[in-house]
Amino acid sequence: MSSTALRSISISSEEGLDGVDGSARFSFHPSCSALASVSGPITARLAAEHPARATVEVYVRPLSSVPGTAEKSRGMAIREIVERSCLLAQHPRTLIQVVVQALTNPTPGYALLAAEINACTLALINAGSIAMRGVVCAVPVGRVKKGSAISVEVDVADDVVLEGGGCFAFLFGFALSGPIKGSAPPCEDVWSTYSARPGSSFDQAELVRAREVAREAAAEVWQCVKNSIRHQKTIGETQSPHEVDVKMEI
Amino acid sequence: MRPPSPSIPEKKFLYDALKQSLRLDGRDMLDFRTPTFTFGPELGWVECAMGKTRVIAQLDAKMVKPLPERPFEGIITIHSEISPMASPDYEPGRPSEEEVTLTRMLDKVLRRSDTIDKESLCILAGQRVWQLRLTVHVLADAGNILDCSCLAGIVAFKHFRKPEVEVVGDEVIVHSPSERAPISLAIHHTPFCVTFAFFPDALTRPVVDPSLLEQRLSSGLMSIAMNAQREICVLHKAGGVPTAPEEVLRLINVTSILVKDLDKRVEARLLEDWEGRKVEVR
Repeated sequence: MSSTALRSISISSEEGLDGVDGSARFSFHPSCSALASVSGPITARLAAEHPARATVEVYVRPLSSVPGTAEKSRGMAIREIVERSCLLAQHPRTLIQVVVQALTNPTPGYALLAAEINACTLALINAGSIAMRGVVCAVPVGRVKKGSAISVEVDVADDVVLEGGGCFAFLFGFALSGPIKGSAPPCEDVWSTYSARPGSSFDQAELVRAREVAREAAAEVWQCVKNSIRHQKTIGETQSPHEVDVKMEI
Repeated sequence: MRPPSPSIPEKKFLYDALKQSLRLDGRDMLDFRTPTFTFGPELGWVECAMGKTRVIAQLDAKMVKPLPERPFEGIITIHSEISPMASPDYEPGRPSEEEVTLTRMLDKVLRRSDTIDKESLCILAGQRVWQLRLTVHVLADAGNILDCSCLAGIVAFKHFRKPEVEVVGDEVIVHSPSERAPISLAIHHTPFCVTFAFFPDALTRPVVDPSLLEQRLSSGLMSIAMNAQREICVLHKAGGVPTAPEEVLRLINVTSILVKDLDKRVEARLLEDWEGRKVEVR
């Protein structure tokens, strides 16, 4: 599993957005980038509030034009992921409002969706106001022909030759039980989608292979997320923790 | 539940400070926040930040059939929905008053002021024209999203390059950017929008580029869109404090000075970005 595809991951949450509680940008590649913001727990509309847990609302907005059905379906996927990864019972009758803004044009594959999921995770961490069971990292995978190798596909240029692919999201947390890859904590599958484009098909063995490739790649994404938080400056600091103590090991 | 901002102490403090010509962020009464621009990898993508107010504008173009009553003109559409990202006070699907003002001003400043030469967007008369679609996303509202959006919009128009098109008889050939260098849009003039906020106390002078608190506590807003050649494109004053004509003329003069400075800044920044991109002419 090569890490060349994930080499150009770029994460930024230095300049926070003023109107929301937390925000972050995530991009796999300069042509696949998303910005997410989180506000919460805030007051929910009377019709939308739930007596035992927080309500989650997700709005996904594309780069050009008005949101359509594709954005609505991505919004539903992200809402399900946020509901499964956050401890909603701690904030009853409140609202967690997540807004995802795509910064690049959509691709036929799932790279933009994976970038949006990762941006949401980073925004939730940046907000710091909602407890989470773990950190969700998502990766897009794809393959060229049926039977050929599955790899992480983030480049828009490669996207046109893909005939099958999907997106897998994993929840990483030290309290979870699950397979461990490298230095990342155990992870469990929290959401996935896999499809073959018209003219092609896939079988169960391919789905299992794809998930394993995605699991390894997600562990690398987790490591990138961890590094970005380690290097963040907190309010009032002039030097980032990394510059202060190079030998600090977490 | 959090009580709605602004609170009474904030209100009193702001009014008292403005009476002494002091602004809470340390600016002068007629000081504009310096805009910074970040350009994306694609042409026509720009993020404009004025203080903490942030707006992204993106422009793309596609070929369509023109409107039957205007077969020689291209089409320009502007989308500017404010999402809850700007502030949780904005609800999606329910345009607030501010959103309506934003949409109408963008329409007047960028479309109806004849900024872009629509006839230059024509490819094949009556059959194929360019449709330019500008989408404006407000990322953060720290006051005066109107000026920031207009600025981002006009810079996106100036930054964008459309693919070169060759017409051979009835056939239209679109050249990719790697074959032939894309060409910039034909822009007649560059309007910039400047907003003033008035306050209820008669002795308090109006301020330029209000911050969020100043905007909320103002009793009237006036926006002037002007280009560097001292031509007024749009003057928008919807209700608010009654203002004498001399005051309006004074503010128009202030605007012309600010606009000259903005124009220089925008041109310098666009040149800097263009030089950073590798565009070879073979």
